[in-house]
Amino acid sequence: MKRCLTLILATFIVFGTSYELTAQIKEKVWFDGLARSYFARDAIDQTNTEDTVSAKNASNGYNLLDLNTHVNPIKDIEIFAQLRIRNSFGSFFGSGTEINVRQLRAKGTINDKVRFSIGDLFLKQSRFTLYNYDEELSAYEHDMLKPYRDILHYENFYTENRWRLQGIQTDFSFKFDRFIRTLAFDFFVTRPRGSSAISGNTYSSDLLLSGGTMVSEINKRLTLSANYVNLFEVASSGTENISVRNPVYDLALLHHFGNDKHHFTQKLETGFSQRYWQHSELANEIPDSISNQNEGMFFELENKYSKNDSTLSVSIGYRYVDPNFRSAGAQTRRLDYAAGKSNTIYPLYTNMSIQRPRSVFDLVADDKIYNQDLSSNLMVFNPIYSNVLPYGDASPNRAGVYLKARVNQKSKALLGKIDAGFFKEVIGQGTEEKRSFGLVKAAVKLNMHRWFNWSKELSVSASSESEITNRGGDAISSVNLFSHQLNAALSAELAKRFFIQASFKQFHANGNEFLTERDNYGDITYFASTQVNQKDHMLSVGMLYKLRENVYANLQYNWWGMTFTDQAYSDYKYNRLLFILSVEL
Amino acid sequence: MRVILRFVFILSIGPYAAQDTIPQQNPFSSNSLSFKNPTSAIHFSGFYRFLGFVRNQQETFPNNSGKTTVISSGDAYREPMFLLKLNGKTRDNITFGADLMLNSLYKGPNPVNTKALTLNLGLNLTTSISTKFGTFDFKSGGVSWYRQSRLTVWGNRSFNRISIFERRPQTPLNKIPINRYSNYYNSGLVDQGIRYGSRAFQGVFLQGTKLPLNFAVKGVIGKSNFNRSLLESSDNFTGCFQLKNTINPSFKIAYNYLSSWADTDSISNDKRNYFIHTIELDKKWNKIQVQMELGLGNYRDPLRALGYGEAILLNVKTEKSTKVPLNIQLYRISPQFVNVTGNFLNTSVLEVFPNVAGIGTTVRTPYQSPIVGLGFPVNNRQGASINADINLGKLKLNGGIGVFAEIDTSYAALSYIHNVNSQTLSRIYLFAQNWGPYNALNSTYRGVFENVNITDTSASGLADFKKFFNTIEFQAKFANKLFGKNYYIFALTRLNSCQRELKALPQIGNQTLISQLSQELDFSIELNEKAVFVLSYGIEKIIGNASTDPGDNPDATPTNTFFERLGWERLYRYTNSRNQKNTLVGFGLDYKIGQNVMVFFRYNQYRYFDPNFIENHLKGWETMLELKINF
Repeated sequence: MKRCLTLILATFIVFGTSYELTAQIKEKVWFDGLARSYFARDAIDQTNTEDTVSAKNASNGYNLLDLNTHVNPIKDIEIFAQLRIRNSFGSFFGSGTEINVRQLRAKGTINDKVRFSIGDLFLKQSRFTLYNYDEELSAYEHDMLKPYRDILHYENFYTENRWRLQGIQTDFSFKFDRFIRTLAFDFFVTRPRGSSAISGNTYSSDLLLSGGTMVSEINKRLTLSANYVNLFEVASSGTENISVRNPVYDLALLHHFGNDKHHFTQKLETGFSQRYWQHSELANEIPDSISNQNEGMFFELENKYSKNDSTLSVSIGYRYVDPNFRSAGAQTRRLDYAAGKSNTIYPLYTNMSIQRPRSVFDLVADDKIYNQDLSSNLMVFNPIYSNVLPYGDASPNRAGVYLKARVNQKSKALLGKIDAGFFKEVIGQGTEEKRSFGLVKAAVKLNMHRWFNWSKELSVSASSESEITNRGGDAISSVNLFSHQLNAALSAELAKRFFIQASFKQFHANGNEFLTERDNYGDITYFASTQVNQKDHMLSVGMLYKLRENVYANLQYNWWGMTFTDQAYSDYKYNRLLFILSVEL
Repeated sequence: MRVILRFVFILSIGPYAAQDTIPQQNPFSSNSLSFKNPTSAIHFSGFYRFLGFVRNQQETFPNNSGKTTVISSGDAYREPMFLLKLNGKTRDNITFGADLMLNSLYKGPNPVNTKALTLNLGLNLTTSISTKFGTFDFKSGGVSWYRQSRLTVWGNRSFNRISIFERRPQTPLNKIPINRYSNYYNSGLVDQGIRYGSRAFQGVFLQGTKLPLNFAVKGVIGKSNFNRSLLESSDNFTGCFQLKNTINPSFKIAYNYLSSWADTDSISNDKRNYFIHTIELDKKWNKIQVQMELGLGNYRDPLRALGYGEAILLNVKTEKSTKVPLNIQLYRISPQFVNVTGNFLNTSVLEVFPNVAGIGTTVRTPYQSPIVGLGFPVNNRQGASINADINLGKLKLNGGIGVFAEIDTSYAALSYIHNVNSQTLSRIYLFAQNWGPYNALNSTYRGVFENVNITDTSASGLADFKKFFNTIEFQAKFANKLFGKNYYIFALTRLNSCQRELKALPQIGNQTLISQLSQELDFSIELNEKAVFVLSYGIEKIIGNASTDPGDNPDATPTNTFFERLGWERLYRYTNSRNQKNTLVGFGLDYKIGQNVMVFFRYNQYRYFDPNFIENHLKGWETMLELKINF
């Protein structure tokens, strides 16, 4: 009898599995991806008379196909390879062709319980441990510049505020019927930078980032989460005996309640970080030691009210981030202002061939100036474009309150949002005086077609973003910097899916600030005083044929430039013709 | 046993238990979650083509390095050994395609010999939008093959009079090997495939069909591989469009426009540009079709402004079904009418040819008063030709005669394209300009042309006379059976000449600047359904007169040694100028291994010789083994 039962069970298992496999075999390989045609022609504006040595015009373009190949050899396992095929516009018969592997990953689920991924990963934790904050001046932009942003984000692997990392990740969860509702765990180990030769016999160390998360839904109203992340170098993988360590700990408690119309959320989040450099394997049996140690904490309390019909949401919060709080995963910037990275479009200008100062157009259009590498030190930022929160919510040395509000009409005829924040430095930089910061961003969009019940879309939008920085004290150390960005746009659907668009972007900055210079260990070495009085502008008109969200053809013309008042730089103006055909496969 | 049972039971419930442990909403994951969302369809097609090549040179040019034998694999003209065509279609009805090309030198495992995966042509994105106003096809990318009108954008298309002994990579595989020869025998004067009638373009293509009032429009803005700037990033574009109206099925009218411009200096506004306006008419009566294109062009660059020039192409042809189908062509293209993407050779402006690396630095057609066959119009030239074909049972004859004249004096030089050994010579030095011991040879894609200098020049350095050209082409095709097996014989005779005066027929005498006579014979016989044996013989004679380059042999040589031996003095003369003789003898085998799999073998002996130009002596043999597998 037992034998018989065993046989029946074994047969059931074997044949049951076989059926499952048969079903999967049908679609073992499937594809998606992206194809794009791109052409840009830049030209010096005819009013630019101070530059007679730069090329009058420069054009470039390409066609590319990113073919995502998904292979499912067995159920719950996928091998993913993104193959990029690119050929330059104007190169014929094979020249200017690139074919390479852009991403490679294997992922799957073990026993329907444990998910794992190996290879190219896109990771995100909390906003203080591992988070890829949006680039500056991008939050309130009109859709007309979306084709630029799409390329910028896609080429730099910016997706859902995640960092692209390479390594291994796993997560699993449990569901309970008493004490707590759920408990989820997530772990990863990645290598943001591999060891490489610096010179003849010297090698840099491998830089690793590891982390873990535990999230527990204690009851229907209460969720507790804990995050840990550590950026560290493995000294023995290189020839340098100094290696960085940057562990960050984060704990958050989320409470929410509501009824069928309203919803309230309170979030309390806190944590701390350490960063130091470890000296190991030293000569003459000198014991290991550490240097340049920093420790810092953060704290945030946020209250959010939202209507369930999504017509209103308001968040008010208080945040404190210690001056020495260091979190490489959250404080690494997308925009890298480090010396040596020049603009791609007309990097030099004037007859002296000096480096052209970066403008808002470059921030929008130049995907090459952006960064994908995690940095253990605070990266250089430009206070003109982002001085209040240059490292996002994790910006160190900030304490203050903030407000976020969203208003939508039910008919969606009117959409509005406001972000505001008032912060102060926790300690002064180079002086006892502390900077105070003000940030006000507002945007409104009028969907006229909804107002008048037109079938074709007609919308007008405008936004304003202002930042103000003040520091008292004597004439030398005082700071007063004001910057303001204005966006205005119009979009009209002439025929089905065919739009004409116009937008204007102006950025103005005026005042003075100090640029912070740091050494290899992130310690401030110098404050360079800078005076600013500049205006950036970008006027665009164009047309868009939009099949769906990520499938469109866009043709636009941009007039852009910069004017300086009482500055060492010369004004400039350029024009650009842009064509993008983007197809998400 | 109980333990085993428990173990098996636990294993078997594993997947179901997972449903209990994982909550309905997605649990936290630091990684992004992806969902299956495949594009509609992707198809792959292509071919594998191995080409083994051995060349042994018994006579070489004096500057030969000493290497006389070449053993190689792969087609030297940048043709794919493995072509993988990827074609996909999204759910938005957008098609995308790429043709991946993979070559291997088969020269050993050293990584140096590894060839990178590349594209044969390029990437394309295409979509079609149907509206109540018409259907619009939109294409972006390239390389794409585009054709508009003969004066604006049109590939080289001529009468199909060639030797088919040599195979090209694009030559399709037939169902059975003999079909290649029977098709050629049966098809007569047909144009070749679409690619060969079109031009390579990159850019944005738009085509509108089924427009109101029977209108149709098509156009492209982008780049061709001609008229390019030295700096690739500088402005260099070619754009064109056609607006066509079908008044009725037998009468079509079209307006064509083409403009090409290239910056000659990055910091100034200097441009090299030309534009063309043409009107096309296509009218069909019962058995007669008249096609005409009238054009006006203008060329300008920083050094010269040629002004406006006219062009006319007139083609009158009768139905194929008539007893003796005729095709009469007349054309006149002024030297100011400059274009490199049309179906005519540009001979008046050298600079529009590309000279930019990666674009086709050396792809340059003959531009110094080229002697060409029928169906190759040339600018700064006018003339007429008549072509006819007639069937006499199993013997099919076709031929043509043409007379052409320069409109204005031009370079003190001539060029002619070799009819025999042209591919063989071009393989010796690929895509090279002015090579050979006398710097006269120029290699193009599977061909060689040669430049000849003329000594009679004006003060400006140009020829002090206008040149006149005559051409006769005659082809005989015969098919029959031998021991129950099909065989085909193709004989092709071509006689071209250039002289100072207008003549009705091609000339050979000492008043003729250059005479070019060639005879090619192809014989193919079906051994069985899977195998065909082929033979080929070609001979070409080129004779120059005293107004052309003298050779370095101090003694004059007879233009025909056979007649000299016979003493028929009227049929030969002595000359110190060009006295070239090209010969080719070859045989081969076409064999079908299976469906879409064939193997081809070719062997040929060649000789390129000129007794007056002592160093112009090449002799040797080539062997090729081609295996082609389509999928």
